[in-house]
Amino acid sequence: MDLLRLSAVSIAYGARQALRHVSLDVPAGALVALVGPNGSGKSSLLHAIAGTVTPQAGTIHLGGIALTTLTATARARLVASVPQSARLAEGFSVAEVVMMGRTPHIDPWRGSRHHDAAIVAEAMRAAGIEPLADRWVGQLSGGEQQRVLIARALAQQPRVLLLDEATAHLDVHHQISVLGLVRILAHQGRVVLAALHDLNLAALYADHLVLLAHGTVLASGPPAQVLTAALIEQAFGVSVIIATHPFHGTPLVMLRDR
Amino acid sequence: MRLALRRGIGRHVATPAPVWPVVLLGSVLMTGAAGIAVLVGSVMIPPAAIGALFWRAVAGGGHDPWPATYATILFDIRLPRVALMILTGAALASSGAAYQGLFRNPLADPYLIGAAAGAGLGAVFSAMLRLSMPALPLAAVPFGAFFGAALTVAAVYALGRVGGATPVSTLLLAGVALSALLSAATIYLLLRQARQASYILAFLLGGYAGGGWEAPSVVAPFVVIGFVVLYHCRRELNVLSFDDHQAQQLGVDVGRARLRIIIAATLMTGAAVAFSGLVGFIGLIVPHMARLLIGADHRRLLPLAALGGAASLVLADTLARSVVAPEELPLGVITAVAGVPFFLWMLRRARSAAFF
Repeated sequence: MDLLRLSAVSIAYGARQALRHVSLDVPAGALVALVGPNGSGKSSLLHAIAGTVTPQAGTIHLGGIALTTLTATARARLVASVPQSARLAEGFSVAEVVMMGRTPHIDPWRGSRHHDAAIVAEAMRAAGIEPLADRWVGQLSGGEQQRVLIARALAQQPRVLLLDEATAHLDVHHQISVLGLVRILAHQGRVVLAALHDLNLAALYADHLVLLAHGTVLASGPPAQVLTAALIEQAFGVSVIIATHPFHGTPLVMLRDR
Repeated sequence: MRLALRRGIGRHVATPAPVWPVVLLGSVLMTGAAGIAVLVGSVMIPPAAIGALFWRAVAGGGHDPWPATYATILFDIRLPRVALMILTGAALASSGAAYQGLFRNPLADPYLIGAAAGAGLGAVFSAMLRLSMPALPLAAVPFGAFFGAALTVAAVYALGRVGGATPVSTLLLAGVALSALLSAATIYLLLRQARQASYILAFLLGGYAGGGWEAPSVVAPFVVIGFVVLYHCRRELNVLSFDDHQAQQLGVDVGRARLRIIIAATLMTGAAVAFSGLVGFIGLIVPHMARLLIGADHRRLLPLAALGGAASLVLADTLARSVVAPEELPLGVITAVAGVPFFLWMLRRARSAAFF
């Protein structure tokens, strides 16, 4: 099983310190959710793993591979990202967008092969968008577009899948269907790290939570250990009541008026 | 039409549409346009004569019932001119498609980022150098155009750079500003050579009045190499038309890919401008029409833009030399008359649609 290991990763944007010496192990096979207030460093952490931001200090390893030393192409064969609400350029069909996930694998002199098409078809099937293959991405609903982006990430055949608020703009129906899919993908043996805003969704779907505040890891563990009134007050500055989900037994976070 | 082009024949629906139907369509358009261009002109050559002349050129010998001038007109005037128009149209349209995808701007074309203005100054400068130094080969003109275009694009890139990144908006603004300056310099250079007034006008309005195979054979390698590089970058162009972060997460070295695409497109623009002057609208409108027809996937868009650009310019040039025959209209006048209404229609449509 893969293990994604961050050791003392620090990121600063000018004078603003976004991450301070964050060390974190993310094992494969579990859906790990990153939670925390705005500006706590969730996105920066995901960008550091994806390679779109270079950390000032620290190392990121996947198994024995130091991700920070890889080229963009080599890294994209290992790590795929699903952005919050990606700008999906007009004029591409769903199948064409999902095929872009093969970009790091395809030799431009030879072009795509049958086996690339098979991987694209399989990715679309896994994301439940096979019937949309010939539609233009611009005509799809937000939930469908998000599934296209997940399929594109799956077509990369990554060992690490990152999701940055991938459900933030979706209605509850689509949030649940996307997170259910993501959890299946994690349980199939991938490293999956998802930044989530909604604490209750995180409690319901994630196997493991990482609570970030001010660029450091405040708590890490199963939902019941992380979602406590004390930790949430410390991280978000709001007082909450924690109940137990009557059906699933997971923690349920209820806000209190000040 | 669009569905048939997308699906191809017998294609499993869950894969991207194949490239070959688009190449077939483009080739038919281009061959048709070239056929018309060879037949039509101030002297109309009957199709039978053309067939016979080609046959004689391949098989040799035979009796010749046609006026002797037909062979000269066909092989020394029309065919090289058609060849040059094919190369120029393909270069302008495919570099336009690449610039539009790269800058995520439907109005980006060789003119907007300053490449054409730089190429124009470079071409005029080296053409004038050849007047005083006749030993200089003709290839100096496209080289001059390429260096002019490359220097301009580099300057635009440097000027448009803000804090380590190069946002598209500043890039385009820098391109427009620098273009104005360079066009002024070109006109000044041209005015100093007042004897060449007809050449000035021909260049500024676009058009080609020379003859023979020298110009097309000098331009061909630039266009072919440029297109091969662009097509090699087709997948990078696809992901770059989303955003830089997504492109990088899909394994594209954004800075390098962008540089490679800009150099290839600039090379093609330089070659096109060097002998055909400033022909507007082909690089803007042909890629748009291609995108409306088959979508934005550069695997298919680049070949269709190239072949469609070739067909369009060949037709425009045929019109230019036959409307007021035996006089010629400047080529740029034809492309502007055909292009501006389309451009305005596109602008009005752009209010409702996001991209086109």
